[in-house]
Amino acid sequence: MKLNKMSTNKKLGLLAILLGIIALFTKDPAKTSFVKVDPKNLLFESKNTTKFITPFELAEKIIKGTESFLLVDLRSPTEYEKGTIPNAINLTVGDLLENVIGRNQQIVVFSDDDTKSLNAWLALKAMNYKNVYVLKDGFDGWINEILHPKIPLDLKDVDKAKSEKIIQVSNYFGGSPIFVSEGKTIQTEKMEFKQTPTQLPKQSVALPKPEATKKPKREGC
Amino acid sequence: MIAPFYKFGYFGEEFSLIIAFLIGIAFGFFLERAGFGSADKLAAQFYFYDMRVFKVMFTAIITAMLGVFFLGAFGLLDINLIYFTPTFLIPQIVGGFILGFGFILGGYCPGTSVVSASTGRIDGFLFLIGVFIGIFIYGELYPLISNFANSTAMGKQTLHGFLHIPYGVAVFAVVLIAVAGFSGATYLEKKFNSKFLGRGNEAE
Repeated sequence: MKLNKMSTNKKLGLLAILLGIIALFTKDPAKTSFVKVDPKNLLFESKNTTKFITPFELAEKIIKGTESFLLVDLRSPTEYEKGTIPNAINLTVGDLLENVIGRNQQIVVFSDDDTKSLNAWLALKAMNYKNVYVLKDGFDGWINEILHPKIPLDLKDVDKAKSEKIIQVSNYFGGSPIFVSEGKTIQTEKMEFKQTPTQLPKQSVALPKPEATKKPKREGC
Repeated sequence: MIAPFYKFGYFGEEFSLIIAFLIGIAFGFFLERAGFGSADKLAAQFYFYDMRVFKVMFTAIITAMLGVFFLGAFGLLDINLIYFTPTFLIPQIVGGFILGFGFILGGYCPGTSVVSASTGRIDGFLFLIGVFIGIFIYGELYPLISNFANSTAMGKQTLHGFLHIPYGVAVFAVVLIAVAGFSGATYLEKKFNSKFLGRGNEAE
């Protein structure tokens, strides 16, 4: 009995070593992609607009900070240095294809325009990334809708609450809204990042501070 | 079908919870059967006369490692989709020491204390209560120590990625370490058995 048991252990040990030796000569499974892409499905998804996230949705996502996601700036490093969306990292489409990002990570890509972002989206989808979103209108959209949103002054009460919210979000990111009355721009200062726009009423609702690093969801034991 | 099934959307949240429940039951069952419900057996490894915890752990590690590697190689599993905890070097070393201290003191790690409690052992229950008190204290203190807890972040690290060696080489090396560890552990058992229990080669 004892001898038998010993030999089972040894057999299993030998099997493990054998498999280890085979592993030495096996191609890295983490770098091999076995994903089969269904072209029809991909075409259907590419027509679908749910892959877009509006600048406002993204802004709220950043402020809330409850979801962990990766924001990827696809523009050139020089543009990235000039200014980008908080927490964004600068990668090229090529970098994305190098598997630098975990495939289960939620990713939001943006660029100058939608074309480059959509290329990246398509490439990532083809590599079977699940949660990839494109920022609608790219960085320009971010500037126009978050940093310098146009706020009409003559509004009904319902819309006022909405624009109030937009102003708050814009302030959070250090933007300055442009106030427009019947098509005429009231605040015509130079468009620069301003901390506190002069014409704004005091903020009543305090927004949470941005967190540099989000704690990722725990799945371990 | 390619694993992980949940990440590929083959089944939803509810079904994945049922699967998790079943796996949890099986996990607890085998831990108990391996003798992990007893603090005596668990503590024995610190005195080197019964190394079954070490052996079971290493067996689990190389079984899972070889399984994941070859399932990936055969295209049945997408390795990139497997979740693993990011590395925070210093906080995790400190945490490891705290856990080890509690392990030696109480005779259980968090998982085995649940196993022990479920078999009705009073020390297991007390340990489990301690675990929850510890979790509560950590949660309350977290704002104070969050800077430390998030320091030395290294992201997702793998052995082969960190050492810049091919994946297969890392697999082979870990297998060798495990086999060497096994023989070493058996040797220690024989040696310390006589010392602590006054017995000879009666480890099993």
